[in-house]
Amino acid sequence: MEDPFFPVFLSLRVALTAMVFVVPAGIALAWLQASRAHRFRGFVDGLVLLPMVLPPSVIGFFLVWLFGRRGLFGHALNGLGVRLIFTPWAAVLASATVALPVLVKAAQPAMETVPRELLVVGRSLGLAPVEVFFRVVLRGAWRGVATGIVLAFVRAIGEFGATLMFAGNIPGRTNTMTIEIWSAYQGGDESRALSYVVVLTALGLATVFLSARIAPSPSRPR
Amino acid sequence: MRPHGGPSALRRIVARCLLALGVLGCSASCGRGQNDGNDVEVTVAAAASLRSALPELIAAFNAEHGRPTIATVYGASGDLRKRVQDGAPIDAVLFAASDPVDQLIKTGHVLADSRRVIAHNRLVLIGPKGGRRIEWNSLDAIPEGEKLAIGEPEAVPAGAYAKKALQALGKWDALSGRMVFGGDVAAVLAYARRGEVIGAIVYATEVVGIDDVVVFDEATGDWAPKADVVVGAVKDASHARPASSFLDFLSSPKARGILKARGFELDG
Amino acid sequence: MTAAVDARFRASVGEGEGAFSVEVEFTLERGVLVLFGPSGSGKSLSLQAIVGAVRADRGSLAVLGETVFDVERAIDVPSHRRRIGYVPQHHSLFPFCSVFENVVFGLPRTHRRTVSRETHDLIEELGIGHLRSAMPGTLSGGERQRVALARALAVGPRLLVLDEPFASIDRQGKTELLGMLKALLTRRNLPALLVTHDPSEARAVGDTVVTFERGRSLRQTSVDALADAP
Repeated sequence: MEDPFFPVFLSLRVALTAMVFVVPAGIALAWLQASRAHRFRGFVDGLVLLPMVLPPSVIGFFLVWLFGRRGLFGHALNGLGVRLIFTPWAAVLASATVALPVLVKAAQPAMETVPRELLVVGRSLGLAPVEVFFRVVLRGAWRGVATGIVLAFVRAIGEFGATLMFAGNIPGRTNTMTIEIWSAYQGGDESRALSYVVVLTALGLATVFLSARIAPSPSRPR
Repeated sequence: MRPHGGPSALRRIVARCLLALGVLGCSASCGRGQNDGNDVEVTVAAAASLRSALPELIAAFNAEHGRPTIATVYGASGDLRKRVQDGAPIDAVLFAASDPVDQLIKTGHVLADSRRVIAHNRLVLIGPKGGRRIEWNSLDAIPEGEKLAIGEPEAVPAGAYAKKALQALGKWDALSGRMVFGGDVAAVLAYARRGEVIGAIVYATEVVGIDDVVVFDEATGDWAPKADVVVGAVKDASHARPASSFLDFLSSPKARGILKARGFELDG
Repeated sequence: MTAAVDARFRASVGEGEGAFSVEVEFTLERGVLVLFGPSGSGKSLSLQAIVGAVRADRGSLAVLGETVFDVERAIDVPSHRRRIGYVPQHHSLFPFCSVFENVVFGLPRTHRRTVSRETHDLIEELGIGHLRSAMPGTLSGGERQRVALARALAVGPRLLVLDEPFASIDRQGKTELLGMLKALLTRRNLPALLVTHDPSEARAVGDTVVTFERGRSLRQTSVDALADAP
């Protein structure tokens, strides 16, 4: 019999690894979009939003199409000896793809509300642009950014459709909690499904509670 | 009232709504026991492995018998079995294994005397065109990093058969962690066609007319399980009469000819 | 003797229909120069270019003899190295920092923890000693601008630039603040540029005036030449 805790730890590992990429990339992207009206702003906005509006199976299709063995980038990666599809890294990529827009969509508006004057003041005080970003922008927008990170993490750990297509269901390798729930339910083993449902529900509730405490509100300064 | 094995009223309602969304609407005269045969729509739940043969069979049935229209819901047999048990408005089932049908008979959802085996399916080992050739006997020696695709054994009969076959061959344990479980046979086939896996185990009927895969080996021999295509009529269905006339048709010479052309094996 | 500020440049913002540019030419030997004119005349945009928030299209700016930017010679000192202090009209304080944290914001980390002699004196000089741990949200307009001033002065700039700093403050408070500002600048011998549309403010603080009109700076005059507000 397989280790019932494996999917729990796998899901956590996959989601946390995805966040390692999503947090810096998401914050950078949010700042890029918030700080200036560059030519491709609308286009980037749309591109970032895309994984939020596409059905998971479509996202899964694109991932396989791009990174599968005969995929657009898959070919090149194969040449380098890197295989993504049907590995835990595929799950990481699928989770990261759906989590990134969640972070950007929460962080960007928070950053946009940091007044321009404060950025100019920061620089006039001798702070280099990087310092201004961390000490003024991030500090000013931390509620929105923190909420974004929490929500993105939960989205990452809850990924299913694209993960199933791209990482596949390989017990002992890529069977995350969400895949296990579906697999167990399909096979009629509802009690096994239920245990993972409980874990994910508890996680969801914790997130709701946490983000309610962090999120900006009229009484709390951003 | 339908006999029940324990699902709550809420699940019944949800299952009904979902099926109604997935299937084109109910006819005006839809109701328990009412089947004047003209505006009636029969709903048949079929295993995914039948999705190539069934449309042809339905067309032939309609050519011979005129109306009723037959709507089909495809899915993995395990999934569909649950839906019937949850009370979805399904009139007949066509599954790729005897197990789910027998379970439905046991729980009283399917009429025992409507159960019939209309054909058999064989397992084959396939691979992407232009890929490396593999064989049943050397499956445990597939290269590092490569995967074999089969259906989810708990939910997909083809997968359950594949597992039985691999266990009989003594390869199951060796392949642990190197098999990708597809949600249904269509997914398994897709993996093979795309070349994402080195090989896959599917039904012989799946690959009829598909030219980007190569059949390496048929599963013949004592260890090879034979998949029965089993049909049954759902008890107290809304359209019991037209449904069972369709099921009868499936044993007719015309229907058998279609099944044979599609790669199924027939008795007699 | 080198002039405190020598500016002759053109700067613009926006594109197409909404584009706006300003042509600036003035020299400040020492003391306070007032940029005077109605809103929309280009005063604030000039300040933005001087402080480095906007890049000039052509021309140059020199502060105390040092070139800050010169478009033709491709010189452009980044904002954080210009040592030009800035006090805006709105959103002047960091809302997530206390008064003290605001004042020491630009200082090196070690000086931010402990109160140095200079910081202490500066805080007292600006009359905000009793507000050290208050948060910006609880302060009045006048108090906020005092803190902003203290913060700008704490890092020892060589030029101070103020954009209508007391515009939203009542008459009485304004007079007090203007007096305090003038005294501060004189004591430190610190040149300053102040933007305002209020002639009495200009007279209270300025030594010379440059009037702006529709995107151009006009002749530089002494502050007495300014007419009273209508």
